[in-house]
Amino acid sequence: MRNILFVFLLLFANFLLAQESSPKISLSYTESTIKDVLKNIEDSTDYKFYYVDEWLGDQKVSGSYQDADLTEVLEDLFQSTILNFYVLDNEKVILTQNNIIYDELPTGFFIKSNQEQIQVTEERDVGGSQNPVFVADERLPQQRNIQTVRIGKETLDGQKRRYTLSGYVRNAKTGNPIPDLSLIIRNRKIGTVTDENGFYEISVPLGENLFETKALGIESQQKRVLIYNDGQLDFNLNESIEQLDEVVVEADKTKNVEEEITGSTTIESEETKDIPMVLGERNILSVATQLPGITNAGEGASGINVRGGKTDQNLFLLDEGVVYNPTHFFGIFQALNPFATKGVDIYKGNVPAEYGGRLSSVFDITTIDGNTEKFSGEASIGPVTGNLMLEIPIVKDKSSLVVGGRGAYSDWILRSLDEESLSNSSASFYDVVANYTHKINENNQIKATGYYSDDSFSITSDSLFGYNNRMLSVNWNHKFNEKNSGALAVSNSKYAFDIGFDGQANNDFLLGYSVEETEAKLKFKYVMNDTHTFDYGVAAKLYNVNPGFIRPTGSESIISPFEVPEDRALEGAIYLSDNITLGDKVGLSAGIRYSYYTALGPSTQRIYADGQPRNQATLIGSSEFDDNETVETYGGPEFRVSGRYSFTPDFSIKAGFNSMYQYIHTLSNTTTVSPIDTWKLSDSNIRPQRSNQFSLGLFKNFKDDLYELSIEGYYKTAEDVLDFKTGAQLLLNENIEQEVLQGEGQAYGVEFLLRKNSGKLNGWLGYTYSRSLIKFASDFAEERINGGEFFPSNYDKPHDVSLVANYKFTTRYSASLNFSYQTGRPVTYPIGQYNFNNSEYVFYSNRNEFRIPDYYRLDIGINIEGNHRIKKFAHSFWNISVYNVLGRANPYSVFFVSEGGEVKAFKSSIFAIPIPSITYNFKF
Amino acid sequence: MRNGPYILVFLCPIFIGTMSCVEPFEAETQVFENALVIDARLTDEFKRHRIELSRARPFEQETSMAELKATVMVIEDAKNFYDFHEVEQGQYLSVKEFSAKQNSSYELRITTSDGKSYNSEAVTTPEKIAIEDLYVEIETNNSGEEGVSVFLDSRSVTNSASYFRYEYEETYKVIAPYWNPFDFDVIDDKGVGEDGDPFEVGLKPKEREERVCYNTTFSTAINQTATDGLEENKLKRHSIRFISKNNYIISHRYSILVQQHVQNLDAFSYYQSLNAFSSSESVFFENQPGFLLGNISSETNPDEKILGFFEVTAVTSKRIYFNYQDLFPLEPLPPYYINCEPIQEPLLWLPTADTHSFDGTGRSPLIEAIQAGLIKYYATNPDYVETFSIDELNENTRGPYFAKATACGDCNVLGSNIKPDFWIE
Repeated sequence: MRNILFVFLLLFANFLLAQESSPKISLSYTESTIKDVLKNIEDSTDYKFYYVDEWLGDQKVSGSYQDADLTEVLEDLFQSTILNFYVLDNEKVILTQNNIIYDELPTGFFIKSNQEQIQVTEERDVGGSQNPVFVADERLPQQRNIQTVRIGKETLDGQKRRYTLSGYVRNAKTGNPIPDLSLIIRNRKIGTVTDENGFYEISVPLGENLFETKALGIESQQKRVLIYNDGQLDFNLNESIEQLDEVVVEADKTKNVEEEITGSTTIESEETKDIPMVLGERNILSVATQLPGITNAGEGASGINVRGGKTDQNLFLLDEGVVYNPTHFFGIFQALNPFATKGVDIYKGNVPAEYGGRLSSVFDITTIDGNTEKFSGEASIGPVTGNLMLEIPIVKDKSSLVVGGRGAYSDWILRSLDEESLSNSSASFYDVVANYTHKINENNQIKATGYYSDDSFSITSDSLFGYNNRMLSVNWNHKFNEKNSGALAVSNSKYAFDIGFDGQANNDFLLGYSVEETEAKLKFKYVMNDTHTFDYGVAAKLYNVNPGFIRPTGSESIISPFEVPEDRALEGAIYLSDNITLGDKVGLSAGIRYSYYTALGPSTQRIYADGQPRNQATLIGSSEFDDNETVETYGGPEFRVSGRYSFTPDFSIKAGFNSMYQYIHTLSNTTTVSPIDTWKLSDSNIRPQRSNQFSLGLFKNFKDDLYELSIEGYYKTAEDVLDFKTGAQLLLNENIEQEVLQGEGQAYGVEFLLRKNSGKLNGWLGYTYSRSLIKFASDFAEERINGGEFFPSNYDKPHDVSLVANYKFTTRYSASLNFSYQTGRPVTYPIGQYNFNNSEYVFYSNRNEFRIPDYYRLDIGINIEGNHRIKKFAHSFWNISVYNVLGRANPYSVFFVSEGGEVKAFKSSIFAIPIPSITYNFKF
Repeated sequence: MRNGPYILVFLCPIFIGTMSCVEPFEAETQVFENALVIDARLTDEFKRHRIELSRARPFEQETSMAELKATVMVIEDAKNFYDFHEVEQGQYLSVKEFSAKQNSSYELRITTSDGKSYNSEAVTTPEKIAIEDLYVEIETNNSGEEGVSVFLDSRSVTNSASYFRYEYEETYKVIAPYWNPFDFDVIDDKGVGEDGDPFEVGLKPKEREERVCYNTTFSTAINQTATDGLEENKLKRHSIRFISKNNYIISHRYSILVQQHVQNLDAFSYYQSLNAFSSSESVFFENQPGFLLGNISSETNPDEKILGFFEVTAVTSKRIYFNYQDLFPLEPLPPYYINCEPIQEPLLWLPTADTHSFDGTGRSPLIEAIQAGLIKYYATNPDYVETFSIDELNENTRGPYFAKATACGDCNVLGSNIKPDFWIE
């Protein structure tokens, strides 16, 4: 407003000429405010003042005048302020802040249009050179929240080109001076650095100066400084913790296009906080399923299917240690603490040679490194869980401890439900994570991570299910020299579940299963030159599987203790890969991994008649193996090759070939993953699974990397994937190979992804067309599925559309939306019913010939960030979301029950109504 | 193979309870495949054994088609032939009485009328195991309902594991709560318009037993257990049946006959899978269903799908009785099968709807209800005033008798008035 007024006045400047003789004023005042003085003048004369109250301040002034000019009085009055005045028409006095109202145009104003005029202007020499400060509000939108500071008072005479600005820069929290801070005036391209006391002095040009502070670990601040005169400007700056993150984002801007390997994605845990999720629980794995090529069988189906692969073909690594089941509560919640999780790198196409052991993907999840500067933390309260994560510096700048704990207080929800069948049900879970990072010196860094998650639920009053994951890992990163670095990772993981039965008869028992693995991995990186970067290493892993035990519980129980003998195996691998850069255009990543697997004794391996179906009748003998004796070996080379050709810096084509071996398999006779699925090691009767994948993709970034667009296609074949005979009994089965079928897999698809990573509106839109087929052929009917032809797998969902969008209204308010559509998954549907033994039954024929109706869901969320006031104890974040806004009862499964002699058909859905939730997060 | 005696059952929601749901729907047949269903069971009982042949049917079809005119025989130890004759549609009964002998093997052979032949694998009769005890206990079940549980104890003298399948036959006494010695007697079921006489309903003494009846039903669910994985080859408190305290079938006297079939492992596995595919499931994980291969195959076409199983069992049975009052003394009886509180009072005649004139063509709601078997005489209406004039017919007009729903006065609706031979009071 003020600026407009100024411009307005300027236009008429030519008409506002010199003052005529003016009335004299007599007045005196002591310790009065300027406002009172002006009022006094107004009362005793015809003068009228125009000003903004705030300008005047509370300053007390004194003075005494006899027949003085108004000008004289006012000059004295405003001496110690930054106010100027202008007398208009001998009765109106206009006050201005900083600015002077010029009653004539500056020199050279009409230089081109009117020579005459210039002459006239020049003759009227009012004295001094005039360089008025014009400020137009032309700031870019993102600059609008930059604070504007005015320094000094503009004077009509003695105006200089440059003034001296000085001041102190302090840490807002500690009040300590910040030395070595760069102060840059962006629009003038000049700058200075603070001295050790945080003091600076800089000569700055008159007018608008865009100041920016820059220092490591200090939040960058921008100020728009309007210089009218010499002055002082102090800065109070906040420490910045996330500065490094920002750098990472910048570096990744063109990763999409430049990286050699295909089919890789990164999700930062922090990014996912705005995406609405079931019951407000942040879930990085669910977010992953919104990306092309990654799906699951449905809500409530634990396990993820990547590019048409089975759920057991994904390697979940947490700081290099395997986590067998990273989900809670049937896959609905992630078993990872969202605050302690930094993010996940997902490899679904080309997997770096350093990883192996699973056919479909690697989820490389990392925990955050703790704050070594100050104690900080994050906490949240949601409808299902409470979560607290603390970052505790141990040795300043060197080491830090992160501790996170998260637990569900869901039992109360369960109990509050007015549902009789649930009166005896309960469910609860928790997970804890801790890591310790220590930077020994420039070249050595150690990170130790421990993780434990636990779920327990009971459905009937007499049984209790539980499962847990345990993971410990130590990573030591060492830099040998500029060119060579290495890392040693040692980890131990265990997954176990148990079922406790406590009935009223004499058959109480505890049934359990566990798998444990210990791995040591040594990896090196050698940056030979600009062209070659080598990664090489060696890894060894020991598996111990307890395939199942049952024990009687209570003195009454007559259950006989039984244990399927332990399985042991050693998996080793050696790898080498070279990242080759040939100019700007061509990049190549060529890797080879040789994996080797040995099933170890003690063991009893059953022998079946050749050319016969495997069953009790064809079991012809067994062979015994001693402790550590080699039972069976498998192994082979795995190729990881991919290349990129860049047409332009933001447009590239990539192709890759990837082959993998997998030696450990899940045994599951359910259509989706259940927590009591067991993992089985390959042995003389069960071969490892193998896969080959070809991929090809086009990658393009638009508008300065604001938009990323990619189209990727893949074709994948797999051999010896596992399935089971109809009605297989898998738990506590010593002769499991009699139930196992091994067949072929085939998957192909095209993935389309448009992503916008920054701006007010960000998010992505993905579409995937894919197929996933499996085939189990055999000469024997009992070992064939669907006549030995290819048929769709349980998670074959050809069309998949996902939209994730977040719109930031202001820095504090944002809204997000999440939409998914998928073709309904295949189900085995009965082809008729019949009467048998006094009851009706349905009968099934071919597997997966029908589909449940299509799936779609819309979630919305509103996120409110607390204000960023410096003094505030914590930074808060509210998340209000509604999951499944449309309330669609997406069918999850269809099943048929024979009840009272009749067949009844049922369909189930997991989240059949909109589910609102509110979560409160805060950071400190 | 070992099987834990646990079953995962949860129909609706756990924890997210009201959010997820299971709802019934009307199944439609997508693609129908016709298949022969063989329901064949031999036991070691000396009797005429029954084998039932039928065809699978689409969901839309109510009843199964019987497989007619097939040749059915059972071969004992590959030398003794037992022929079966079709006695009813699809029901084949052995011509001679025989029993499945211990350690003998049996094979089923069927040739259907279209010339296709089917053979079963040879099945050996398992060893007989006695029921040690059958008893009832008052118990609260998993859903918090109080009732009676029927338990069974069994002990085998053999060392090898035994596999059991249970069937039961329950018989219970039904007493009509509003039984009356008199019955309606429709004297004239034609109105004036038809025969010149008005409608007339009188009373007569009941001609058959309608107060006390007996009803027998058979188990439909598959109930199995095994002793593998048990320290000793014995069963304790194996649950056969739970009956809610509010189930009218135990109102008076109740009897259950439990048959313990000792199965072979193959038969046990078959029934177990059949049961798993047809039981309530967890919302979250579902057994992968598929075609269940039995022990009968087609000689003509090895890929033909045949439903059913040829089972040979050794059976023992035991019967027990109990009275409601012995288990729940001083407690009110469970509610009757239907609510018998409402008293009906049908009018003897109604005027013709359109003319409101008494021309004799009007209906008699009372006689219609009697003839449809809907009501039984309860009492005579003392306030009834006989009228045949349309002018006197008004809102206050009453029916001549009070009546109750048939089931309240006649137990034959819920059972048979013939006391079973075995019944012991």
